[in-house]
Amino acid sequence: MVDFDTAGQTAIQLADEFARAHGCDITIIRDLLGRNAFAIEGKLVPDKLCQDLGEGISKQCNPFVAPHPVIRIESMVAPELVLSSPDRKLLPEQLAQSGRVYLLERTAVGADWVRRPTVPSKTRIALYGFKGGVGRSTAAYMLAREFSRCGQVVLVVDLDLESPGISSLLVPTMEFADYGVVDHLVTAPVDLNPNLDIVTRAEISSSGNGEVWLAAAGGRTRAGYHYIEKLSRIYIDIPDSAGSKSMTFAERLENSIQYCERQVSEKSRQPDVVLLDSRAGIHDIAAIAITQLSTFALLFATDNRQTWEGYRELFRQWQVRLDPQHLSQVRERLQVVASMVPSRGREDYLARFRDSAQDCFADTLYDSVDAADSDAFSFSVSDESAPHYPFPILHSMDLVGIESSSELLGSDLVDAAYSQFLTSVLRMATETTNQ
Amino acid sequence: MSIQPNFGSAARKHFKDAELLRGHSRIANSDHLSGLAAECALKQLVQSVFNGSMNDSGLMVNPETNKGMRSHADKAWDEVILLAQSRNSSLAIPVTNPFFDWHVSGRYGGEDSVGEDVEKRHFEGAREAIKALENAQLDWMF
Amino acid sequence: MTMSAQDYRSLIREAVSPVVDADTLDPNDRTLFTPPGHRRALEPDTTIVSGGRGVGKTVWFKSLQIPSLRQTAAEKYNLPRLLDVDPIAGFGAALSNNYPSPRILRRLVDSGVDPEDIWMAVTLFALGAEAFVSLESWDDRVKLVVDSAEAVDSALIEADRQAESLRKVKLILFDAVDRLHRDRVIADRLAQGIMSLGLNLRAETKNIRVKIFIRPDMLDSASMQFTDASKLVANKVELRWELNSLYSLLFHSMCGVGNELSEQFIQSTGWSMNKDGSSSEVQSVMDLIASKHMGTNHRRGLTFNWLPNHLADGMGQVSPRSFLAAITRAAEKSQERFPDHSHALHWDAIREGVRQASAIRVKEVVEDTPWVSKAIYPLSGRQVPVSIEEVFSVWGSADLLEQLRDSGASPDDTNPDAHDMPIPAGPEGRNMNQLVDELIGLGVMTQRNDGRLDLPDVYRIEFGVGRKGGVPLVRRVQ
Repeated sequence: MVDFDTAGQTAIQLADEFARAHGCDITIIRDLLGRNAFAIEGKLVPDKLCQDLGEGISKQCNPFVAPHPVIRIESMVAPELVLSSPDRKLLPEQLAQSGRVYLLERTAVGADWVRRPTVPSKTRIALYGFKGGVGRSTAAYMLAREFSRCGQVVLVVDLDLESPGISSLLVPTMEFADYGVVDHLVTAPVDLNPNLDIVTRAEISSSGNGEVWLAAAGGRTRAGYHYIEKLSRIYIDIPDSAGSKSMTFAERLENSIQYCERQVSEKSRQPDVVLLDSRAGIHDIAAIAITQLSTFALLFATDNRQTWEGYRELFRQWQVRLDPQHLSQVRERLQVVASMVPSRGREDYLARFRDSAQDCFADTLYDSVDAADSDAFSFSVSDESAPHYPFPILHSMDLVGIESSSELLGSDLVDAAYSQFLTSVLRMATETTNQ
Repeated sequence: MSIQPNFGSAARKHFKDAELLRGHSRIANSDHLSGLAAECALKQLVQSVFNGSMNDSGLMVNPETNKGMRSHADKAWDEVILLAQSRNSSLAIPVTNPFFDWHVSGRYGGEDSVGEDVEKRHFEGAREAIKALENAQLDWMF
Repeated sequence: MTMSAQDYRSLIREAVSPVVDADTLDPNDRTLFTPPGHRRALEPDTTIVSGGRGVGKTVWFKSLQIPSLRQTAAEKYNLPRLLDVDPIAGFGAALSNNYPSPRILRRLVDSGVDPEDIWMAVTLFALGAEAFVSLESWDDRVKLVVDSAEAVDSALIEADRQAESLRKVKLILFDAVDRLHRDRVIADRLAQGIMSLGLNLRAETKNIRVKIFIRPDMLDSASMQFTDASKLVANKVELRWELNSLYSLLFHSMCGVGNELSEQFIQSTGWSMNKDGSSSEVQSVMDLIASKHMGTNHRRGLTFNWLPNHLADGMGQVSPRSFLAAITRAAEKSQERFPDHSHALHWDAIREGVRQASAIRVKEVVEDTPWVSKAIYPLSGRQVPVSIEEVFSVWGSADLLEQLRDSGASPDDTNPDAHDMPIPAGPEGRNMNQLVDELIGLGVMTQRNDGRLDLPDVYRIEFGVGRKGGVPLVRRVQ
């Protein structure tokens, strides 16, 4: 078995040799699962040779190879699908000397995440930010550190795949593991027992039994390691017949997270807490993380219109598309975090924030109640038990532009900024596990 | 003696023959085979992309509704479109059904039972269906 | 020996019910509680003490007049100056010979007397000034003030000198200011007169002072016309009850019952009378009495916060009376419906207790300011937050402004007794915008960021108003 990148490399080599040897054009097609197949343009190439080629590919590119790895273009009813595809690119001669090898990458956009929830194992906390730059990854770092100080084993999974943030805060990029979350996502559908080293220990000093582990979005940058091509393939739901078990994207994510959890327990012990760091993006990983993968979700927000409109839209989708029971579960898992609260005028800011937050939740997720309803999911602006009532994180100039964890250690201002947040989240985590 | 279906291959088989026939002005039977080609392509799509399967009565079962699907292109086309929509999936076949006026009883019609324009539309429709199938095959390699 | 849930329930009811059930709180040594925030209110130099209904204005008004309680307060607050205070009531809810009744006040005002003169007459009479004591009627005493500035001056000088020699501070206390006059405008002027008096006494005497206990909304309206008000308002004290003080009040009452149960309570918690506990201290005692959360799901909220939160008005203030009422009702209900529950107070019983307390709170507000119910009841059946336009339209349909005008200033001539009863004043405002402002000032309504109006739960529920939400009632999964 070879990994995604090696299979790709090998396919190019094989195609190049064949094209040179037999004077024909070959298009390497990588399907949505990253499996390689050759589309050959050459009426004169004998069947036997094609068959041999097919066997060669199967052996050397397994598991990233199509069940019928050789296609004759002439036998297609619509050969233009390959030959005129805008995604078909001629490989440069540095990669394929023959100058006759093309690459056609099949990619997909969009995922449907409206499914029944899976029951997440242990305590999983999703950190979600509607937009970036609100200190979410830093909060993830602080939270990981705090849990480890309490003697817990923490696994941080960087699900901000489009722009990983927490990864480099926890571990220097040069020390990332060989593979990342994306690698498992792309490999699992074709390889039942992938062997990918994904988790790595973060050096957060804590005397005591706590540990922090990182599953970064991608593997360590190195020659031959490609990220984008994998990224574009992972967001799909896989139907049953495509050579693998039918799985929704959410199920694939759950699988990958569990894979990382297992790795941690093999290298140390079962994680007590898993932090999922994610952000709103085209592909709704975050929405899945919140609705299906986590015990509860921390929604990061600053008090401005764009943020509330964004959350309103997200909640509206849930309100409309989830069945009542699912909706009921999801809204019980939410907790707003007010990040970057100004230290001057803090109370006024928080009062306005609570008002806006309550309005956003009331519009979408809270029950509409009569005076007599006492047991409904509805909260007034100042109700501390409400999901909209935020845990505050104070803004500190020290926190702007944090690039490495060493800058975060030992700053009193930083500690003060996070103390209420950390206490509240830890309490919430304890209470949720105890239920 | 019934044969194990290989819908994708059958679709191509019917389409190739339809092409041959119309090259020789054999319009009525070419038209009939176009309908068959489309039917097979649609069945393969349902089976491979949407995880449909055959029931004992030899009908393809709609995986969304769990009911048997209509077999022939005139009705099956619309059902497949609906199925794709309910799965939030995009299929590369036109939404307007080109086989609305094709009927399996065409096999009993006479020499001049099909007009040229109609036959042309059906042939193009069959090509679209097979093209969609091939497109799906490039995505999923089935 | 640990106390059982039942023990706690009995103790709570014994400690609290009398306090809550009484119409007027007559403080005594055992019940008087001295929260830290109230110390400044008692200092003789503090002229204005503001606070909402049930916050304890009258408790302090009365306590200052009772020597033993004044002594208790002086000790607890380490305020020996209180022992030098000689208190005299200048006005209060009860009728008294020491000051004019509302009826007489109205007559005096109608005849064109300046309120400050009225109060000066009251003061000098109270101080025992010869010239004033010898007169029979208030009309005469006031007339003397008006006619003879010299009489006033010499009386003041003499009273001040006497007080000085005895090393006493003569403190003229004013309470129930909202009952000065039925017409709010006139009540305001009378209140202003009191403040004016206070200001002048500060300037002209060394040992005669005024202390007025007043509702915040009345203070606002009374001081609006009073240009020098700022000097007094600047050193006003607002009576507030912080969360910890509320719970401390509860535990203080429980300690004070003086029976075996309260002894046990003191033993097992280490609490003592008049202790004002810290956050963690009150929480740990509360944990003994009620479960930590308001339900089996943590999302239901921490009981400790939930309780006062749902009793707080728009200013974030909880009246101690409603707080205690909620707790004792919760104890009753728990005994009735959940006798075997692990803790004394079951969450559903607490919810019920809060509801009942809300009813009490609303009753208080309506007693104090009857026009409030006329303004809010029409909103029954709707949901908050609600736009100002909608509120105005509702008020328009209910002819609110006309209603208020009718029940407003003019005395009820057909009922002669009406003149003798202290009657709470109507709204200051004459148009809808002003009404909204007043309701907000009273803590009955709040305004959202976007201008819409909201009601705190303590009022919302009683007035039959719902809360807006995106998930319609039908859909809700129970």
